Amino acid sequence: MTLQHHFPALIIVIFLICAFIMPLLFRWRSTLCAPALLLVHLLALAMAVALLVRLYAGGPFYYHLGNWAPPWGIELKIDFLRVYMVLILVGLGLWIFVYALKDLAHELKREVTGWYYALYALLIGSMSGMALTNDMFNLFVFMEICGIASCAIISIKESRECLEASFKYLILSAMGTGCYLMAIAMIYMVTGQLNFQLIREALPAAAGLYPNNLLVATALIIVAFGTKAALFPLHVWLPDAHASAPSPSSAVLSGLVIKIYAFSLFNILFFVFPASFRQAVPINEIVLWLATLGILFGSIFAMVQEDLKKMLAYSSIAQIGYVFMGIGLNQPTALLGGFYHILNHALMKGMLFMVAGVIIQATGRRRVKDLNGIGHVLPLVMIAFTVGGFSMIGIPGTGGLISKWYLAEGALLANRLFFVIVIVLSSLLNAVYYLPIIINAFLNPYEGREPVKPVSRLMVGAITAGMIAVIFFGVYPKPVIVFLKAALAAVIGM
Amino acid sequence: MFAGPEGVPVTRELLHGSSSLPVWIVLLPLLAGALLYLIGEKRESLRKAVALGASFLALVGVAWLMPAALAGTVEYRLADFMQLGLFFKVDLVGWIFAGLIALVWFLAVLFSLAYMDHEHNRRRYYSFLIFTLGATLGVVFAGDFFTLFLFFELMTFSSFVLVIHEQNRQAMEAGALYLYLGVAGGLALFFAILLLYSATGTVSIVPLLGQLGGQRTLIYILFLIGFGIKAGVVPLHIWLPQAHPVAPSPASALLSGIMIKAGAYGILRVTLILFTPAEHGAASLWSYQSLLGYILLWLGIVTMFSGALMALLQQNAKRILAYSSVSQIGYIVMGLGAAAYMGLEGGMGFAGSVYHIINHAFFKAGLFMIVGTVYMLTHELELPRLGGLARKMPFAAAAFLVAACGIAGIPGFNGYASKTLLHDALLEAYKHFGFFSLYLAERIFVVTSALTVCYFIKLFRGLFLGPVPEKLDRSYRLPLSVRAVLGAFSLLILGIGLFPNLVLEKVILPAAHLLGFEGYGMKHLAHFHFFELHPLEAMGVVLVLALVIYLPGALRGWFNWAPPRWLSIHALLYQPLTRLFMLAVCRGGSFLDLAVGKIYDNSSSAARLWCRYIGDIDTSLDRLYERSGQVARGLADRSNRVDQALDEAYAKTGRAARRLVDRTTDLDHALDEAYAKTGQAARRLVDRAGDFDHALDQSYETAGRIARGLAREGKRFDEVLDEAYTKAGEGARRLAGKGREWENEQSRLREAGSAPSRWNPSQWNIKNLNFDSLLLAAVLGVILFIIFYYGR
Repeated sequence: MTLQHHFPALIIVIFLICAFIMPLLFRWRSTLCAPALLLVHLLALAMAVALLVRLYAGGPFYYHLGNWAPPWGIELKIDFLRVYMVLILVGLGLWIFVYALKDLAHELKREVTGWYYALYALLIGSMSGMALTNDMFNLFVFMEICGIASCAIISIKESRECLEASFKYLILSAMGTGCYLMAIAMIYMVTGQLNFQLIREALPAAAGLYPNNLLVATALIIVAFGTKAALFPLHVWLPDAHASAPSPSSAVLSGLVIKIYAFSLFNILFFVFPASFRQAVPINEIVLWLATLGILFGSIFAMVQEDLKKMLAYSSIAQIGYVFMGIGLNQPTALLGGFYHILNHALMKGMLFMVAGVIIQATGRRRVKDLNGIGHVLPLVMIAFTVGGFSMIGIPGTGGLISKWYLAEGALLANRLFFVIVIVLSSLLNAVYYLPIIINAFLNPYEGREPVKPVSRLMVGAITAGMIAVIFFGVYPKPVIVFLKAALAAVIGM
Repeated sequence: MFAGPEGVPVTRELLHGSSSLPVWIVLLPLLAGALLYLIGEKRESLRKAVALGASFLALVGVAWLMPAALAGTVEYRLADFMQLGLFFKVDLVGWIFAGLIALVWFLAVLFSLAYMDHEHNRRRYYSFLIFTLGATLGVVFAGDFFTLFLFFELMTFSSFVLVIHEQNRQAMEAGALYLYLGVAGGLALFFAILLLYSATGTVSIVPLLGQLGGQRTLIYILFLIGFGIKAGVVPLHIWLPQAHPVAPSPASALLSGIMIKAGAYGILRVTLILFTPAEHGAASLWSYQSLLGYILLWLGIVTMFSGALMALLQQNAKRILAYSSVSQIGYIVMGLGAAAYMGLEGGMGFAGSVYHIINHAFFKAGLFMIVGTVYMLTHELELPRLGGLARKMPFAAAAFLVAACGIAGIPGFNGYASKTLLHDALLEAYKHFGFFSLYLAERIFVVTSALTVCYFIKLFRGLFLGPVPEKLDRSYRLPLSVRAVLGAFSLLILGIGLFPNLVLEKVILPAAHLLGFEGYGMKHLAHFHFFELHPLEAMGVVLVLALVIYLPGALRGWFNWAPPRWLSIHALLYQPLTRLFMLAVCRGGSFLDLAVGKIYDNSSSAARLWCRYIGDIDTSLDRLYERSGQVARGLADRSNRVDQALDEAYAKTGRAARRLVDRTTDLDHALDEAYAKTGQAARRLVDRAGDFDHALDQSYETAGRIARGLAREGKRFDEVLDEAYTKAGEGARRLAGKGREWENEQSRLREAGSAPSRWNPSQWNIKNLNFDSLLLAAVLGVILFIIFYYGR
């Protein structure tokens, strides 16, 4: 057994170990913390790439933790889609962490920075676990870790709003995981299995005998992941939580965390439930319509926000709707669009929250109305905001257009013209609230006597990198599209 | 499509060359635009040199392409760019547009050199001016709709900066309208292209009508909206009269002269190429195309007439020109419609339309620059405050006269040629189909042409004739570059006007062949006599009609009538639409949220009230228990005392009996005494019983009191309830009052334009955790219901 063989588990484990060590290390040598976490990210990234290489060589494979085979042990599954998610998680996690290095000094007390690093590692590690695991209960465990870490990473900034928001998030996320736990119980009751594949094999027989259990479990699963991923009417916790958190937390929560729950829902819907079950019960339709409502109402609520970060948070509700729409349409091209949007939205929303962080740090302004002329004092940052906003609207040359194109094409191929209209309409809605900010930022004079505080180059550099990536994935999407096409073909046979 | 009639081989061999030249022509201005932004604010001459050089190089490049475009097409493919790839393809139609764009742009840049010296923010202006050139050239060089869409969007965004150059309130509002409509149009295009792609699997600009399937009407409408917004077709024109006048004059010239043609170009490509059947046979497809053409023709007629009418009523020189652009785009769209209406016979409409595009670019750009010159020197655009400038700047007046004659269609000037062709196209359609509606269209065409003459007489009189206002009474000197530009435009207008057949035969006819037009119309076009009696006579009718309209109109001041605001298309259609949209979007959301919030508040206060009532009842019950307990204790005490008394009585009788036994001698006495004592005891007993009775009475009385108290409590409870009801009523009344207040506020706000809203919208977040949980449960319930409903 070489070390290489254990990479799937190691990706998760090094983050968890790192999380344990961080607070101690911070007491001992606080300067070592950041490089250590960076190193861990890089290591994980390297391992993910190694997994990818191995995938290209030999196709999807499984990893058994502690060498215990599935009915007893936990199984990790490594296929193209999961590695795609891990690459996004770790890669963008690294990117956001680089930004956080400088931002945290302004938002947090110095003593808690070590804890913050620990939580960050915990978050990325648990999300990687959720991406890779092939076991229902293990997924639950990682969900809990992720949920608690997300709450803590919000409330670490000890303001009233943060505590309130994170408490609310805690309760609702607990209800979500509670639903999921009940769903596991229901399924375990009738199949006696926890492994995805084994459940899938046992389900057809069980479904005939105990249909009610499965139906209830399905509903619980939708609600559980819907709550966690802020699917429309269950989004109520998100705006406060994402808006009040420290900016890097907002970026990671809005950019990555809600996506991983959507991905887990996708995994369960497509790999646990047999296709016949999905046809018999309108799971996809429910997800699709909730996503549609989210796309429209997220934008509508975002339009009336006065706080920049809150507006971005509401916009996340709309954007996660695209991902769910890709899942709900149940059509390979739409799914491709949804998965591409996971990457795109993680990039652009992460970047936009970073921009918001820089603006708040440099000028202390966070109301949308106060952003007049901010483009004159923070030009590069506001250009990045422009690119991000354009990508949200779907202006050519940015990633947003490509994902919308594939989503819309998928909707057309599925003969659902209505959802194309929804996509186009939501683009218009996005334009209504992103464009005025951009116009006012560049074309109005800057008013304000207080000097603009200097912003760290590292933060601006991270934002610039994000901007370049958004444009790159908008202009040259071919590699990712080809990769995703192959991945989806391998996974669901498109 | 390229096959001749009845399978006869094509007359001209088409060469498909591959060259990257179109890409460079597009890329050069884009890069130069970026470069211009980097040149420092102070380096004026370098900036001018780069701008002029870039536009000149673009012109040279386009000229370079001419032989290749005449011989066939030039193609270049950039695969993998944005997944679908960029595809450049220059055919003759595209080349005509490109030539026009490059030429007018060069002249506009030349004009800017002098004009912009008086303006601020020159760095941004030149940068975006040149950048927009690249984007606009990209539109006409695009080989497929996706590429076209990309450059179209690019053009919208970069020209937006030109529109808002002044950055005053008026410019910002016009710019916002321009941008939002541009984005909406872009999305319509996106939608159309997507539908096209999903129906046919390609986005190329080739005849595809047969493959479009059931969504073809939707696709056409979306294309028409997307391109129609840019072209300014009524009723999508509302941004145009606002945006064109506020831009700096050279930019207005380009917006009006060139960029709206990008929309017309799109309509041309869609209507005359995409929406044509690939083969001759399919009659139903041809009739479908003919129907589209008919609709387009009428759109054009409505546009031209309403544009001309509105132009006549304006007092601002640039607004007159802007509305005139709307009207002229109506001519062009009408021509395209006529071409599509006639199917393969539609050469006349196509030729007229393309010819008018060329001519309009020259005279409208020229006119905007002349008015720009006037503005540059006098800083005045309102006609009532201008006048008599013919003596002050005769060169400008002469150039204006030439351009005005061009647009009015006076023989010998360029507009005459294209208007004659368009008129003939209408007549031909009428002759061919004989519908009354077409006859009507032809009449409206004539009236519109007369109105055109009228508003140019008005504009010319307003600017150049009459007395000179005192303020402007000084001498003016036109810069050399301005003279050169105005002279160039005049020469172009006159040149085309005097030799109309040259352009027709050299480029327009080959382009018409390229699109496959044939039949009588084409033969007629091949040797068209412009200076014959028939077209000249038609023009004469127009002029006479113009005088008939103008003279009484000017005498009675008809043209100074400002139409009320509610009559404008903006107030009639767009404002209600946007208001409805915003209402549905914002008010709907806020109403929901506020309602939920109110339900919380009210339910919690109601719950509090309930608790208080229940508490009240509780305490009164408590009190009742307490009192009854006291009473019972009292009762017990009393009965105890009776017992004692009895005991005592017994004891005493016992003693008496003992004494009786003891004292036998004193039996009688003792007996007497005993009797007396027992009697006493009995009396006492009776007394005690009376006491007991009394105590019972007392307890009854207390109970009664308590009951009375209870009744009082009940009454109080009732009162409290009553009070609550009245309070609730008051609350409802207050709510209603608030609603009214809100409505008043809203109407006040509406009047005030925009003001901060009263309710703080960022508070619209449902904070209550209980509600969230309830929501979660409700969603779970709904999903369960759906799943069970379908799962069984």
